[in-house]
Amino acid sequence: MLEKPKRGEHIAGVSEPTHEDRLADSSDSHKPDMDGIATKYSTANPQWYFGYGSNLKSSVMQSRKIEPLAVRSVKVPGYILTFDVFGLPYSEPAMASISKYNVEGASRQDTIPDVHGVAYLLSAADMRRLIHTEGGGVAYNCIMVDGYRLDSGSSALKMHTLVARYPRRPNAAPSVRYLVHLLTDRIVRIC
Amino acid sequence: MGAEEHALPPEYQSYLRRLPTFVPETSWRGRIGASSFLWFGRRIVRVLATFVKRTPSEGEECPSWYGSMIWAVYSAMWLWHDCVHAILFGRGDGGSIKYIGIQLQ
Repeated sequence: MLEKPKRGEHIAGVSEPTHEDRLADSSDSHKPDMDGIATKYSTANPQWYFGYGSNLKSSVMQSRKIEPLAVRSVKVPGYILTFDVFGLPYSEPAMASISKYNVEGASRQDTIPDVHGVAYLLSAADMRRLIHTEGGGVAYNCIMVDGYRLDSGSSALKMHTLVARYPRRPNAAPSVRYLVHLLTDRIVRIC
Repeated sequence: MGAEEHALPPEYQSYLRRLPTFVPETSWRGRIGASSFLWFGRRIVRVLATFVKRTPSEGEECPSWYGSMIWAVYSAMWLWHDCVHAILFGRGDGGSIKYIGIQLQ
């Protein structure tokens, strides 16, 4: 089930972006936009952020004092989950990112799904805080992606998200602890 | 929580569960390798963390050399891992992930 938003969507001044709002951001789509975090999110309008890694967990958002105005489960076509961010060997070798991909050969094998995650509608202040605490501009670049809500496939969202600034290829494997973090709070054995 | 919390599709959760993971070696050789690497590695990361904590407050620009410095330090650590520790004590990254049928951009 989707997490109940911390604040209702009915709060005055808070609404989902209109089609026009989304189109307004399309000019810089898919390009790193770290040229001025302070000015980029200075707009008063809430904007969507796409979380695919540790930010999938609401407890992580709470620990960063982020209060989403709305939460949606989404899929981002054309991107897959990768582990491009280098970590520490023998401990946490790799952390999550996303990447565009090309299909090799005539047809794509459907064993690797497009990345799924969570869209958070954030105030400008929360967006700045989240990108700052995630290492935006240091380990990550900020880009725009187009996602689709899982509960209504035709509903598109334009979202900010973070991708590895220095992708390490081929990807190292994440630790069990990290992958469990993406999946669940329960202690499970992943084989 | 994570993927389960937000009820992401079962097939996507299943894909996450099938991803390869790094599992620490339990042999004495593997444990010595990990301990010796991490004795240095964790100290280096701690020093880097103190730099990052001094970054400007949220919303302000980070100096561009922060990212370059972190990249250089991590690259050096990984070079040491690949050329020395991995050969002597076994890999500390679980091997590499192959995304069959697709090419990452």
